[in-house]
Amino acid sequence: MRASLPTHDSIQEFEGARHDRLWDGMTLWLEGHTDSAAGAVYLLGYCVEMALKCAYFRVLGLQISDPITALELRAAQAKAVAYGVTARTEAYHSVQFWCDLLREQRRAIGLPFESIFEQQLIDEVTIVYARWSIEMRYKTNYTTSATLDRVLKAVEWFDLNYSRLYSP
Amino acid sequence: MPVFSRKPPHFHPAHDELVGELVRHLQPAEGDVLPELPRIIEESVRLSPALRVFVIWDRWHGVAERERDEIILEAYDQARGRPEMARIAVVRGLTPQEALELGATHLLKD
Repeated sequence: MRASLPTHDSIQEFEGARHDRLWDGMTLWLEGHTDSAAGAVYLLGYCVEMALKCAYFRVLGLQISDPITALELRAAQAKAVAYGVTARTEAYHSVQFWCDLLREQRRAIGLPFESIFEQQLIDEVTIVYARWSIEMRYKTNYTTSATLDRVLKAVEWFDLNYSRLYSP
Repeated sequence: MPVFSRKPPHFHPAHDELVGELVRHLQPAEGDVLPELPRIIEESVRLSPALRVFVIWDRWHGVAERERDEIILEAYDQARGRPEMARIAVVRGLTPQEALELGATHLLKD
């Protein structure tokens, strides 16, 4: 299994992972067990992280198979500083960081989000940020079914609007 | 109580000077004779407007890697403008010795 994994990250791998984690998370949600809520939120949060990360690299102009390495991630962090983004990267998993960087990247190239859509994006990211963290995997389950339902609603918004995140 | 204004703690004392020198190289004035270093290499990304920028410079000694990235981006922002800086997908500052150690000898040749 390990040997069959692609050797590098790319937009197409991230987008594939986004779909897979969406179905994994939905499957847990459909089971409806409270015990599965944290696992479902953990998987669904990834979908938002991947959507934002991929949108940023698409707006940057990378092709879907171009490698995304530590160099691209480090440059993203440096650009965030140049744009005045203050959100921490949280090891490049923070949805807040990727959202702010994406917004500033679009502004920098003269393609800012339309204001109503941008506010919706900020609202959904704020909701996910407050309920999801990469660190969840090391924590006991404190997630409620209400939290899961709200995260799922946000993930559905991202699924519906994904292409708008990177389209001109 | 007096108010002290300080730059973020990671800033190198020569940060602004290094930015200024890079700006001079990115936007040379007519008749300006530029030294061999810094050596700025811009690589285009296949089928993409994105750029990879490498700056080989002996003055990177003592400057943290992360700050080198920030200095280069600041210089691009000032010299070429925000849309051009936004195209940068990879940015890396290396001393000539570091480039050799990484095996990136192509960055040292014309």
